[in-house]
Amino acid sequence: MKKLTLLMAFLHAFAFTMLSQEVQVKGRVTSAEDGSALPGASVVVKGTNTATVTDPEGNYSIRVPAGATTLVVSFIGMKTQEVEIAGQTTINIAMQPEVIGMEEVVVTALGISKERKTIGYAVQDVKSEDLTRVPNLNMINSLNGRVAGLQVTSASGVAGSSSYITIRGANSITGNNQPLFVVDGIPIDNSMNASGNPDNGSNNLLEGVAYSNRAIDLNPEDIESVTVLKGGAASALYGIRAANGVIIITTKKGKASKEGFGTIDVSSSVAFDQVNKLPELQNKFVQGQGGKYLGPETRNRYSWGPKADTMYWDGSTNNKYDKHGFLVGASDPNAKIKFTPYDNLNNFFQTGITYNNSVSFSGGNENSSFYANLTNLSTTGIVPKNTFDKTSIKISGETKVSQKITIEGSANYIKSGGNRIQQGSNLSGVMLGLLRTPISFDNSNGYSDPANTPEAYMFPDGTPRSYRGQLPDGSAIYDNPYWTVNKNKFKDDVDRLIGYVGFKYNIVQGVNISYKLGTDYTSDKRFGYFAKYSGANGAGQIQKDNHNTHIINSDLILTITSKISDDINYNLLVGNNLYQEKYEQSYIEGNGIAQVDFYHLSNVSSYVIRQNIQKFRTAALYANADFSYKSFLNLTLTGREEWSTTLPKGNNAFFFPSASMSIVFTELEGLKNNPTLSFAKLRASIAKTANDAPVYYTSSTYAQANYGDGWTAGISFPYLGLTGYSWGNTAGNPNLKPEFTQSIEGGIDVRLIKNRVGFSFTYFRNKSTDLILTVPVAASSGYVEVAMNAASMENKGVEITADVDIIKSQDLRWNLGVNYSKINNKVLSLAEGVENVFLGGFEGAQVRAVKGYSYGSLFGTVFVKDAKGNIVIDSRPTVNGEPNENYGYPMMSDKEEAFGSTLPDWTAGINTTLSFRGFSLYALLDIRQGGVMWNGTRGALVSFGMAKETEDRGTQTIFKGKLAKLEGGEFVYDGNGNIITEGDNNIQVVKGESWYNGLGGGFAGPSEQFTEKINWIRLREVSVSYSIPQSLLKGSFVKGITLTASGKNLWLKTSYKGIDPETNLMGAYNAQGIDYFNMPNTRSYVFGVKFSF
Amino acid sequence: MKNTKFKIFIGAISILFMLSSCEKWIDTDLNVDPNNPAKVNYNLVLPTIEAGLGYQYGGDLSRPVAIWMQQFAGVGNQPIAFDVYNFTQSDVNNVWVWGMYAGPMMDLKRMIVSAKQDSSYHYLGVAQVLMAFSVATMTDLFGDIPFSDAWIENNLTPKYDSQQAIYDSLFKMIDDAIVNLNKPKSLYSPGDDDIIYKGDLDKWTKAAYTLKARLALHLAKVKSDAYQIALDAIANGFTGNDEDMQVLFGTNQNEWNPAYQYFMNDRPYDIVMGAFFVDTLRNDPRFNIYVDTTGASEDEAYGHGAHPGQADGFAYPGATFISQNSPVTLMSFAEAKFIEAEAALSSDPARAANAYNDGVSAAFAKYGLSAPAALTSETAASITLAKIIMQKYIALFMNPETFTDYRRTGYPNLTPPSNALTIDKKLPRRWPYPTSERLYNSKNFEPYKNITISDRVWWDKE
Repeated sequence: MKKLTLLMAFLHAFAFTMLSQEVQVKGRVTSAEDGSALPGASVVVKGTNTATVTDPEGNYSIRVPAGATTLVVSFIGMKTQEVEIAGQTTINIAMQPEVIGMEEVVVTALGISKERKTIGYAVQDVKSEDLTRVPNLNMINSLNGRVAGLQVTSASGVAGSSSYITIRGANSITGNNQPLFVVDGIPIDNSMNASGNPDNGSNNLLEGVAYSNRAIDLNPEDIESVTVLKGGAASALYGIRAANGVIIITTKKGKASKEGFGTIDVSSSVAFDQVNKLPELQNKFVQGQGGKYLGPETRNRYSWGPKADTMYWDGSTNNKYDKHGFLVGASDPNAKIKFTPYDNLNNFFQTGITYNNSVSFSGGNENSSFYANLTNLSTTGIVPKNTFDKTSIKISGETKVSQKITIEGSANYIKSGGNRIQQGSNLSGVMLGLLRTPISFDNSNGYSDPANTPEAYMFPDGTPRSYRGQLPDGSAIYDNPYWTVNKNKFKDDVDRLIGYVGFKYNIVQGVNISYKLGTDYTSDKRFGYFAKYSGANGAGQIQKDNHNTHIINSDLILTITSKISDDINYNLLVGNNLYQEKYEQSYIEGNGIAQVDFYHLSNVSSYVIRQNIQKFRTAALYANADFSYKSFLNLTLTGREEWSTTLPKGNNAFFFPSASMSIVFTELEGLKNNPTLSFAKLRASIAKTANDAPVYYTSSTYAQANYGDGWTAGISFPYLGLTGYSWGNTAGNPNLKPEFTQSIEGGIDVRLIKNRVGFSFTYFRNKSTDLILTVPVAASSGYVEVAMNAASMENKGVEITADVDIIKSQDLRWNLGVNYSKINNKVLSLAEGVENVFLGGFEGAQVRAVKGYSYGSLFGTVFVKDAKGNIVIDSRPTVNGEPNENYGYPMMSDKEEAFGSTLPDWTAGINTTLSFRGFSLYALLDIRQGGVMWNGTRGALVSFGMAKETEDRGTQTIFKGKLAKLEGGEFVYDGNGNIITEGDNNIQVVKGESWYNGLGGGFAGPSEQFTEKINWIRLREVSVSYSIPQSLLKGSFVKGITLTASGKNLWLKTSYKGIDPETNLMGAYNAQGIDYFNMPNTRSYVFGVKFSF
Repeated sequence: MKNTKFKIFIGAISILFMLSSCEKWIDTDLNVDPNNPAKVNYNLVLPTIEAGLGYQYGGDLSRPVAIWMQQFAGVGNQPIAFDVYNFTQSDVNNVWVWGMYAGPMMDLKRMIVSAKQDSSYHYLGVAQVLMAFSVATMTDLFGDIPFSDAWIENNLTPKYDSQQAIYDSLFKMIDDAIVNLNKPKSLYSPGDDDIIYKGDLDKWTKAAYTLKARLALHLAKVKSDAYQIALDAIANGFTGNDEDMQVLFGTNQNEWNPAYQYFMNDRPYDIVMGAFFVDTLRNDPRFNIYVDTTGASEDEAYGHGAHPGQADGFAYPGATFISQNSPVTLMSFAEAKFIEAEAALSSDPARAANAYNDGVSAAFAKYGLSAPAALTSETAASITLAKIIMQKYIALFMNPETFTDYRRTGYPNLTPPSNALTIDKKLPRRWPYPTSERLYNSKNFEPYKNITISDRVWWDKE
């Protein structure tokens, strides 16, 4: 608001006449609502840079030059007023609260504040209360469901896990698709760095622990507002890092208070997390195979044993795996105690608790302001021993050192990290061991607190107790989940400093120079180990993995504000940006733990050491010009010339422009102050944005050698005392050029009935060309992939938002808001001859970018189908004279098919606020329609005989499909190689272990069986808050008390047959839609209190 | 007006200042990769090639074949599918792409080109032997493959060569290697960087001859003088077990033998010993070398056979083969003797019998055992192809060469599982081509797109 006033003050720069006579005007600024004084309100003589701020009692005094006619008074949260001076010397001003809607100012690119009504592109913002009402560990999750066109997926409900965010879909094939995060003008790091030997690449995301994306470090308490810049025109000024949109975060600034001292806010909350959805398991059959019981000592992995209700314990005391003795059949003479199944799954998870405490101080006077905050968050997760803690300290301030020069600065120190839990495709993964455990094995060994009772998961000799027994060396095959949470630890310890210093210098009226130097330094020190005898690493392993990221950003900006005539104003900005990012990883892996339970890098028999350094710089010159004709017609032009060190010389400088315009019809004389049509705007924009290459893509090199084989960890150098290099698998390309995205956007914003009803519609289309990626090539070339400007991709879609104040009276307000977005993505082309690019996943189920399909399509193996797509049933009773065991069953095809996009067809959020006096009720409903996920968990559990659906084992069935036509006992094929069918299948067969563990299961069978559509409706947030009336607090030193009770994910409706489908094994990574023993999600109950002093 | 000019002046100065700062800031040397060198010496690449090749030969190249050859049985997870010949394009991607073509084979090709240029004949000869070995292994499994057109800079879609043409080139390459290995001078020569022979060029020469004999034998059905070429070559081949061509592994975790990693660490009990092989060895003194029966109950048949779902006790490979530092044998003296026996069988049965007896003795001696007389008393009258291949099958445990022998000779006589998923329900005759060729070399791949694992390769005549 202050910026706006300053801007307005400059509007009449040319009309400014030389000082002749001055008049002193004074008065008091108050709130029209309750008559209270407004300290810190800005009073500006219109057309001059003469300005002042009200004192703690709301009084001001200002010298008004002769010829000046108007005062402009503004205050945050109030409607800016212009008051005619008309010879008065005392002017008292009562400020009206700001009408929510189009009058407000939003922060746009480079922190330029603009009146929302003039902006020529869609812009949506999220206020601080939305971020803190239901506290989320990861602030990205608080954006979920609130902004049209923005999609957020949290990896899981474990404490500290990442969230993946995209705006208007993916624009890059293998590069970053997440938006740039800018905090107070400084681009910050939001990467998610995986641990594990870097030689394994993205496979490290399929196993290991859940990592955080670094936006988790941001403290929601510090945030004043979040603006989402969606389109090219909105983000063009930020240049290459903004190719996927920008999340602009403006933090709270100090505010002068009535008493002149300041305000202290203290808030505190506690949240209780519970698992919200788990896969359904069978509880009728015990461990074994072929209907025969095979206990832990046999190392058998399956639950294809006999029926549980026929089993007895023999009561002997010499079974180290079970205190009830050995399991025997009913007819066994030793049968003593009737067997009852163990419920390992539901007993495992606990109620997680999060404590969040925050103290902040805000204060200032007319020359300076100061803000400080200390927040501590401490979480214990739903999985025993899972923790995450975050402490954030922030101070920021601004002071005028002279009439012309203001300096400002901010420093935010964050310490975060926790104890993370092994997950995913990892023999020590919690869900892998937990869900596979047969009902005849008790992971807790009868103890009530198994996570804290070593006897539950460990034998007296220190070797593990788990359902698949031990390998000859004593190590587990799959870890008992209680072993893994106690003995396979992984901790991260992040120290981070985000800060800036800057100044603003008003050279001459209408000309300002500002400079800001910012930095984001993150040190992420990780230490983890697998105890000796662990499933994933029987010899034991210690990992020390340090990640350092250092960003330096410098912006020098010159602004010139002036006008061409009384009706045409303009605002020019020219800037220079210098940016450097350095990342370094040092990874030390110690293998073969010598002394058990001593975790230090000295205590191992060999080491693997890796070092990875990445450094690049960009530089840019940019310009922005705003023209406005009577606020009716507004035009913004931007241009940016950028240089990058990651592109080859000659191709490393590039220019990209944008233009946006808006027509505000309600500024027309005839439509002004219309009682029905409060506001109407048509907007359109066009932009070209660019992106550079990842580092070191321009040349081929040798690389430190390592070989794996897809099933094993493999070997790496140094090896047998020898150093070894191998020519890199990726061919560099000295001819790379920048990527470009062309985007167009158009829309309307309408507000009706005194702003009570609002509607906004946006259509956009982004087309990216020359996308840089490493294109997979035939390995017979000697390379696996080649860096190229290869692909083009298009995103188009619509975003609709609407809101209505259903009831709006002094005491009672009821508001309803809706947002809807639909994005159609299509990969238009990949390199010549390349049909698809692998993004992530497993052999049978891969997320790919495929020409002609939506980005992130899931591909996998299928049953044999006829030309019409019907499943073909093997109708050959005999083959080669032998009985055909596949008779009556579907057959596995050697082909792969696209199962659809992992991205939703559309998403919608519906929110409502009901407030009555001090009470406020808020609810957010989140709807997702479409998109697929590979439920690899279910596939594996079917094979293992643990999925609920395998309870029908042994029943007769007729598989849905068509019978293969036979001629002379052989299949008949059509011209395209498809088997010809005739008639519906009518062959009755047994659906039993051999089916489920074969083609009907997840390991040997096609993955299409386990690919599920994702639809959901969830009550993402609901909260009730109560502010104790001011009247009750009068006279005390407490200014305000607010109590809040809220819930997250209280209700979820989905057809997905696993955990909550808002999940992704690989976390904040381009390959979404993978569920392979993922950790479950949570439902939370939060109680909070906030005091203001 | 004055004000406007001043503004323009300030603006212009600022832009100039900004522009110059941009130019200084952009240092293009920053894009030189500090993590990876652009150039390294031969002695830093040879160990990589040898270890990489050994890892694949004892890993992905061996396991599916050993299941098909019923030395192993797949009883858990994905190997269940291999057991019934459900073996698809994605199952061979790793070994083709990272394991061989873009791995050791690319480095071999670069070494061959470079060593020719700088007259490092000894590295050249070693690289040619290893390249011929690698290419032969691949063509025997896959049939026609890219070779003459492969590993050429900027050629991203190499043409396929016929297996016949590849074999012609390999014989030439091996002959050339023998010449190069015996050159008196070489700019650089291998030494301790050579994991296989520590720079012993005599042993490399013998390995070259043995390889030539191995390849000649493969062509028995398609080349009339194949046996003679094999016999001529084997005369200069291995002469003792200490000349076996094998890749060493170590006890540090990053040096572990691939079978150890698979069986003991990463995929325990997905694969166990196959019933056919266990039964074959039941009365053989090597039983306890090959088979570990710990945890398998005595009264049940060891091994699973090729029928999944039978929940018998299991037998595991012996520690000799699945220890951390078990070597992976590429070619052995025993194999050389069995090659000689087979090649001589029709022309000189007495030589065949002697070679067989020597082969069996060598195979036993390798594990510190003496062969029983009953197994080393073959005569010209008693020796048969079936006996030769059966002993070779045992000696070459886990070696993909057994699959080649089976296809050429039909021995050992294996019964496919009744639920085999091959279209003819018989044992496969080759590997499927990988997804990567299908997708990224589609034009050249066109003639091969309908090939199934039941189709025979060129030398595999009925």
